[in-house]
Order: sequence, then structure tokens, then C-alpha cells
Amino acid sequence: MRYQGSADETVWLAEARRGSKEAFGELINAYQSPVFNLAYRMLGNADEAEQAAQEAFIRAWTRLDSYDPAHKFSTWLLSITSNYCIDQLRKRRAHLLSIEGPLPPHPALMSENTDGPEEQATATERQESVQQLLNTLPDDYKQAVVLRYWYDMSYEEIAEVMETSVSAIKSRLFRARRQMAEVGTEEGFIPQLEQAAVV
Amino acid sequence: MDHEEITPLMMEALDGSLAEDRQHELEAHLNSCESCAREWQAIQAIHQLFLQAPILSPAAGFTTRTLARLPNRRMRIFVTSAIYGLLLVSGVVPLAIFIWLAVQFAPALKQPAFVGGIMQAGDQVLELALAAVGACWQGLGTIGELLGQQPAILGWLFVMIGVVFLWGGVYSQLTRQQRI
Repeated sequence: MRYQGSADETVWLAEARRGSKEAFGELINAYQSPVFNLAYRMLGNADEAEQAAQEAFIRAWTRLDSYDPAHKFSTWLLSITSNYCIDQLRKRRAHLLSIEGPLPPHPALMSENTDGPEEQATATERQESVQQLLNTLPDDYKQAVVLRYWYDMSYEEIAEVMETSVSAIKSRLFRARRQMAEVGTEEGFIPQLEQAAVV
Repeated sequence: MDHEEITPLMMEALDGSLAEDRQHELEAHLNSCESCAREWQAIQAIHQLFLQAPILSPAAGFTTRTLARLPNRRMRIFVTSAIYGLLLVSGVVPLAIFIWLAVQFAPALKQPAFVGGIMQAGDQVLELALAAVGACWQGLGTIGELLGQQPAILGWLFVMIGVVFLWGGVYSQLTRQQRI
């Protein structure tokens, strides 16, 4: 899943810089899913993810003058989103709010496809496992995992977003995978995951 | 091959960038080390699970809701430009006046008595400033003596400072919640 800039995007950006909300609306339409997905995977809550996604777009709108066209707009926007989510996670810990127990699944995880109920239940359970595993990770590990798996970013791009080195990203990704594998094994996910992966 | 050397091989294998000869090394180790084999199996299962995870979308109407919250960028650009313009004018106008005055009074500025008068006025200002600093210092000394005689005043001072911080923190939390 790779987000490529388009010629339209260049036009929208230019118009948005001149203050056109209609043009910025086109950008929101194009990027609402990746931005929301990143926020949901980081925060684990649909309401907070919607607020975070809106805030990310608002920040992008107010900082359009600082956007460097030499870099991809998607990378810049996702960087704003992930940094905001990291701040929210820190505030959440500071206010002693914690997400305990299984989270209610995002409505989109409730399958809209035409699979039978058994397949839908398996898919939902699998996706709930994804979010539960993500929630066991430290914030910086989680950020690296989300950017790698959902946005297919290279190590260099992730390092740029997270303002760290490529070697640090590789280390975080492997430790994250190892940690989730341990949790998955302890919680009994792994046999189910292997079975579901084969399906 | 020890366990730490296996880690980069596993990473490259997950990325699909492991060379064939290194692939053989990895397989050979996994065949001989049960713990690494179990770990590799679990990591692969996690990897596949995440590869299949979908991109989630927000509820319908997200664009409309977000656009409604956007500040007016054109007004912001206009106000920012106006502020920069005013700052420029506020710097250029006094500079122009200064240059005009300098040109008008150039003959007078060449007089030694005029320059000497300015230096004398500067000395008087410096003396006044030093006297003010001395008076403040003396005042602090008086307060210090008072606190030494009545230490309870110091205690009340700390209590008042604490109350100010407390209310400041409450105000900060209330305004932060309003913003969220």
C-alpha cells in the first residue's frame, strides 16, 4: 500500500497554500484513510483516532507554508499524524488513563464483505489480535510497526518520520516483532494466527 | 552461529532480501536450535497477520467535519502580511526621521560643545541608574532584616507562592480540557 503523489495533488497543494479550502478538501479525501488508520493503530480507539486525524489535517493546513515539496506530501502528513499520536499517548499516561481489557473493535473491522459468518468472525478475531498486540508495544516500537506494515515505508522513510537512524528503526522493528511473538505465544494467539494465516 | 547473529538474518528474510547462501545458514541454524525455530515460527505468524491487516477508514462525512474546523487561512495570510508590513513601516519611518534630523542638525553636531553636552547628560543618567540600584539593594537588606526578626513571614510567603502555583495548575488543566 504505497501512496503516490499525483499531478492533481500538486495542483491541490498549490491552491490550498493560497487558502482554498476546496482544494484542501480534495487532499483530505485522498488521505483520510491512511491518516485515520495510523491514528487508530497508534491510539487504539476510534473516537480518539477521529479527533487525532482531524487535528493532523488542521495542523497540516496551518503549516502548509513549511511543507517542502522536495519530500512526499504523504510522508509529511503521516509524520504530523504520528507525532500528534505520540503526544496524545504521553498525555494519556500522564493523566493515568489506561486502556485495559479488550477494546471495542472499529466498525470497519466488522466485515462488510460477503463472507459467511464463520469467516467474518475469524477475520474480526484476527484483526482484534492485531490491535491487542500493537497495544502491548512501547510507543516508538508501535509507530515503527504501523509505518512499516500499513504504509510500506522504507527504513529510510521511517527514520525520517521518527527522526532517528535506520539502524535504530531496524532494531525497533525486530524487537517489536519479537515482543509481539512472545505475547502472542503466551496469550495463545500463535496457533490461531498460524491457522488464520494459512486461511 | 550464535543467537545474536541470527537476528539480522531473520530481519532480511522477513524483508525478502536475504541472499541464498545466508538463507542456507539461517535454515541450518533453525534446524539445530529449537528455541530459535519456535521464535522464528512465531515471528513469521505475526508478520503474516500484520500483512493481512486492512487499512481502516473514518466514519462517513469526515472531510466535511474536518473542513468545518479549519481556520480561515486567507485571513491568516492577510493578517500576517499586515503585521509584517506594520513592523517594516515602524522600523523604516523612525529611521527616515532620524536621517532627516541628522541632516538638518549636521552643522550643530559638528560643534564640540554639543557633543560634550551629550556626554555630560549620559554621565548624569548613569549616576541616576546606579543610585536606583543602590536604593533597591538597600531595600532588600531591610527586607532581609525583617525576615530574620519575623521568620513566620517567610512561611506565609511560601504558602502564597504555593497557592498561586496551585491555581495556575488548575487554570491550565481547565483551559487544556476546553481546547481538547
